[in-house]
This record gives sequence, C-alpha cells and structure tokens, in this order.
Amino acid sequence: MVIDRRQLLQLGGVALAGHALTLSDRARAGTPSSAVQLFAAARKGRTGYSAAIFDQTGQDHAVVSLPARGHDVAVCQRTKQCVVFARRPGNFAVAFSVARRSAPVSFTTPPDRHFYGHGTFSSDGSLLFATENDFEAARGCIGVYDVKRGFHRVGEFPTHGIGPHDLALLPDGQTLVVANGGVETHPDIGRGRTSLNLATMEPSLVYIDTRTGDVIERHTLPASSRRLSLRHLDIGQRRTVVIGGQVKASSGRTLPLILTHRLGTDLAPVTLPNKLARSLRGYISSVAVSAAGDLAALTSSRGGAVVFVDVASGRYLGTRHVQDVSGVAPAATDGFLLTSGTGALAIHERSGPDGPVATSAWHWDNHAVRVR
Amino acid sequence: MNRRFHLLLAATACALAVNAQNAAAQTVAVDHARIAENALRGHIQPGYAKLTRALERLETTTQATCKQLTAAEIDVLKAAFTDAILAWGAIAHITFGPIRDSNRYERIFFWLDRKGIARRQVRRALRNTPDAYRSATTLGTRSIGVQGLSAYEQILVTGPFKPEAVDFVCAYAAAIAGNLKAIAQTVARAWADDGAFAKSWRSPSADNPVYLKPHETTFALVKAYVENLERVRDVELLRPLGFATRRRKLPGPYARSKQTMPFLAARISGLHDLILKSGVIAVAHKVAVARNDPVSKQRLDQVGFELNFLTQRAQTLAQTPDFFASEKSREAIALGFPLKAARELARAALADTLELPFGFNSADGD
Repeated sequence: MVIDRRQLLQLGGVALAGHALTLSDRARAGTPSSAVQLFAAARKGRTGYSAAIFDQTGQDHAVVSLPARGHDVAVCQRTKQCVVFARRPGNFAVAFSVARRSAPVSFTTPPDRHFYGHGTFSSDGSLLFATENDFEAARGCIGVYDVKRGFHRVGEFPTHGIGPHDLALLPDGQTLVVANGGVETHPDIGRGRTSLNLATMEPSLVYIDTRTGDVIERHTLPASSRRLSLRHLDIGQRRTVVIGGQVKASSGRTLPLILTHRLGTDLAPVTLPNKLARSLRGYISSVAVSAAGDLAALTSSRGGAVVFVDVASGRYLGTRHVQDVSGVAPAATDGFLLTSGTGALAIHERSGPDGPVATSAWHWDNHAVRVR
Repeated sequence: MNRRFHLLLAATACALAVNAQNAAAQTVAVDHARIAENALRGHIQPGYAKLTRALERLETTTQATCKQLTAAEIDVLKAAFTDAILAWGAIAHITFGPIRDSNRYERIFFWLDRKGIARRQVRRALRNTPDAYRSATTLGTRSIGVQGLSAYEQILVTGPFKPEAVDFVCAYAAAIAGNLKAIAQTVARAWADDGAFAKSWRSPSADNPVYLKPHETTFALVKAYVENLERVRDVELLRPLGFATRRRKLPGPYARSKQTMPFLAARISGLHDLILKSGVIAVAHKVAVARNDPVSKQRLDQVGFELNFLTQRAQTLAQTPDFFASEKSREAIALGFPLKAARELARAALADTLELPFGFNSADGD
C-alpha cells in the first residue's frame, strides 16, 4: 500500500494526540505574575518543530510538538485556546490550551484542501476560521471549524481570490478581512510553494460577512503593483487594517510594501524613505498593531528590520534593525515582542530604552502572537 | 615522574597545535565585485548572447524553411527549436534582473501550465488564424500562453495541417520566434556592459535601485543556484519520473517534442557553469582554507564532485531519444541525490564562508 504525503500527515496528526503537552512549573502554578507576558509562536529546534507559549525572556510555559514546520498561532483571548497551523502546503493544525492541562487536539483539512498557516477565532470562541487552498480549482477559501466538536470542519466559503494568507476579525465580530496573496500554488508542484501564475497574479483585500459568506468589499491593486502579494495584516484603531506585502519575482522595482485600509476607502500605500524601502528587499514578514491600536510594527526578515508606522495617518515613524527578525506581537507595555530566526527575542519599548535581548536555542518562525 | 612528563608534553603539544591553528586562521576579504563581474562576463552575458543567437536562427530558419510543413521541413524546424530550448535551459536559472520585467520569463517559458491554458489558446489560434498572430510585434501584446517556446513546440507536434492553414501556421511560428528573439535582445541589452541593469549589478550602493551592499549580488547568484537546483529536481525531474506526490508520471518541460532530458541536461550544465564561471566556489574555498574550516572545505569539494557527476551523467542520459519514454528512464533516479547534495552542501558552505544571509526566516519565510 502506498501512503501518500497527506495520509502520512494525517497519521502524524493522529499520533500527535498522544504527544505530551508539557507545562512548566510556572504555568502549573496558575496565572502568571503581572510582570510576565505570554506569547505563542511556532519554532524549530535541534530535534524538530514545535509551538510554544513562552514569556519575554524565552522561557517556555507550554510546548506542543509538531510533525512538520508550523506557521502562525491563532489565540482565542476568551478561552485561551490556541491553534497552531501547518505552514503551507501542510494540512495539519494542533489545538492546545494554556489554561488547562488537556491533551492537544490535532485536526486536518479535507484531502483536497491545505492550510495557508493562518486562522482566527470567532469572537465567542466557538468557531475557527482558517485560510485554505482549494488547489484543484485554484481558489482560496475559509474553512470553518466547530471548536466544541473537536474542531470538526463544518463548512467553508470562498475568499474571492487566489492564495489567501492572513486574516483577522474586525471589532464588529462579524466581518473577516482576508489578504488574498494572488499566488497560485499546488501541493504536488515544487513542495507546494512554486508560483504558478506570476503573469496573472491578482492580489486583493477582501471583507467577508462571516454570517453569510458574502463579500462586503473587495480591493485590488493597480496593474503596476500586481506582483505585490498581499500577505499579512492586523487591525488597528478605527478599524484600520495594516497590510504587509511581498514582491514576487520582480527585478527590484520598489513597490509599496505597506498599505493601510479602512472600509469604504481605497488602499493607501505607506511612503517609506527610498533607502529603507529598497533595504526591505521587497518583503514584509509579519504585521502587528500595538495594544492601544495606534502603532503598527512590520518586520522584514530579508531586510533585517522592523518598520514602525502610525496607524491613523499611515506615516512612517522609524526602524529598528534585528537580524532575521520575523515574529512581532504587541506587548503589554505598548511596545512589541520581536522574535528572530537566530533565536533572539527582544521587547521593543515604544518609549524609553528597549528591553534586554534574550537568546534561545530556537529558530523562531514567521509569527508571534500575544496571549493576553 | 615519567607519567607527569608525558602529560606535560601532551598538553604542550595540544597548546602548540591550537596556537598554530589560530595563527594560521586568517580572515579573507571576499571580493564580491569580482564574483559579480566574473558572473556577468563569464556566464550571464554569454548565456543571453547564445540565447539571442539561437532565437535569431529559429526565426530565420522558420521564415526560410516553413513553406509546406512537410516532414523534412519540420525536421529542420525541430533542430532549430531544440537549439533554442537548450540555449534557454542554460540561462533559465538567471531568475533575477530584466528577465523578470514585463513578464519576460513567463513569455519565454510558460511552464508549468497545469490547466492546459496555453495549449487551449494555441489550439484556438490555429483554428481561428487571427491576423495579430502573424506579426511578432502584435503577438507580443497577446496572452503569454501563445507567445513562448511551448507554443512553438505545439505547432511542431500538431498537424498535419490543412493546406489552407499552412500559411498562417508558418507566419505564426515565425512571429513566435521573432517575438522571443526581441525579448532576448532586450534582456541581453540590459545586461550588456553599458546596459542599465549591468550598471546596477556592478555598483551596489545606498543609491542603487536594486543592490545596496556588495554581498547582495553574490547572494542573488547563490540564491538562483539553490532555487533552480531545487526546481530542476523537485519539479522538472520528479514529475516525468513519477516521484511527485501523486506517484504517477506527469509530463516534464518540452515533453511533447521529447526534449525533456536534453533540456534538463542544459539546465544542470548551466547551473554548473554559473558556479564555475562566477568563481564563487573558488572564493569560498579560499576562505575555508584561510579559516581552517575543514567542514566547509569538504562540503565545497563535494559540491564540485556532485556537479561534475551531474553534468556528465545528464548529458549521457540526454543522448537517448525520448528518454522518459524509454526503459532507461529509471536511470535518471540516480540524479536525485546528487542534485539535492549539490544544493544543500553549497547553500550551507557558501552561507558560512561568504556570510550570505540565508536566515531561517529570510531565506524561507512565507
């Protein structure tokens, strides 16, 4: 009998249910002290891939092992449930909890879908929305999972674009905003990461009503920017969406990598100093908005830089350089946690000196998220 | 006493060895400008010049030969077409620079066409004979699927054509060749000594629109090498071998004209040439020796060994007509491991010795 990649992953997923969720003494003791801030991220170590709840010093509070590389972690701030998603074109996800000692639950997409690495919970925590690839039809969709039924997949709706990546729920609790990267991929071709439609890319930002699946608004880029794959986003004050893009296969022309958007308006590019814009090498890795919602931090692992933008005005405010930086999450102090593929973690303080840089043995993956 | 003496002697010998190693370990400044110049003059410019010549020949041969589309005519056209795809294969890994503007790469090489869009478009064109497809200039403004080498290939393998269709088919074939020649000429001009992109390539600086620091050109070369070796192995080779996820044989590039293996051989040989002519391995080797870094040195030696093997073996396999339909096709499995080794070892050794930014996230983010 031939076991293909998907079956293998599913078997791995089943095996995962038996994997230990390890909790440190501090986590077992109950709620962490106010000085401790908790974050979640996927990572790679010497012995394999995992996802962790950790503090700003890099100390683990909960760890779950993964069968392959993870990407982002969705956190339900109400239930403290976390779900780490496989990096595309993986089709596994693992749910685990900070507050309880329950075993992690693994689940997968249907065989004809794969995750894009991102998801978000409904405001009441009962549903999980995940960006997925309907790869035979080359269309993006949102998979809907029932949390209480062990993350049973209960449906899907289209994202009205190809290659949906990051998504977020607006404060109204009903509207999803989705970044359709525009890049077609297929899991059978080039590790599922080979772009198949560079010539016809059409990235878009789409607002979807989660109650009906209807499109509320859809915004595309001008023809001159069609190679800018819209990838990551976060929501700031006044429902302002801050978006980071990645330039696909261009000779180095500087496209606006950072955009902001509010419902009812056009996409607004953020103007960066020329030298900085070029140094980002056409690549924004991750986006996070501060706890107050007024400051956005966007990382560029290729540029080794974190760019700060005022959410309300879209004005560039400054840059911090960190090698291979990618993960960024709002910190309690209104600053940001930064994580790097080199193992470094740092708290960037909004005002005053930056916190000390901690080191770790982990290659911190693309994203970090705050567990409030 | 005697034992103490021996211990002391051993400790002294160790200390001397460490000191000697430290004294010998030197830092070697990597001349990235030299690597960039070597790659430009020794590989990129000759590669695009060869491609331009091959496409010029394809155009002139098509114009001169394509009259009745007899079997003899088609043989002549196939020979010119094969030269063109081999010239393309030898430089297709330069996936940065002017080839990326105006969809030039995809206009030459629209593959993988998973849904058969281009095939349908070309079939429709052959049926409807639109006038716009008779001219290279107007064809260049039409769908990418009807412009590339795959479109020309489809003309070669479709047929026989009705006599009244031959005039259009020959004009369309000549237009494809003419349009591709124009694309190659534009790219070659941008890389020429006085070309706009060559200027950027040669002068990384804070004001440069593409390359800000000297190591960025070396990084572009190594990244192209690594990514294309991966594509050659994981996409272009594994599909016709039936080792892709689906476990069934799928067509490789230029499968319809039975030129997949010659094309892959050209790809491998082109990547080998890039590494040799740029001198990137030689420079890295010097750094490894100066640093007393035996691990990197061994990896680099192995890369050279693997590339030599791959180039020779692929060329040998390419001699078998319609290789992937032959009994010999399984022999291509032996290319898989060396392709992976040549990629992984080079990436690790070049990142270490030349201090290239192959970070966990920066090299493979999402």
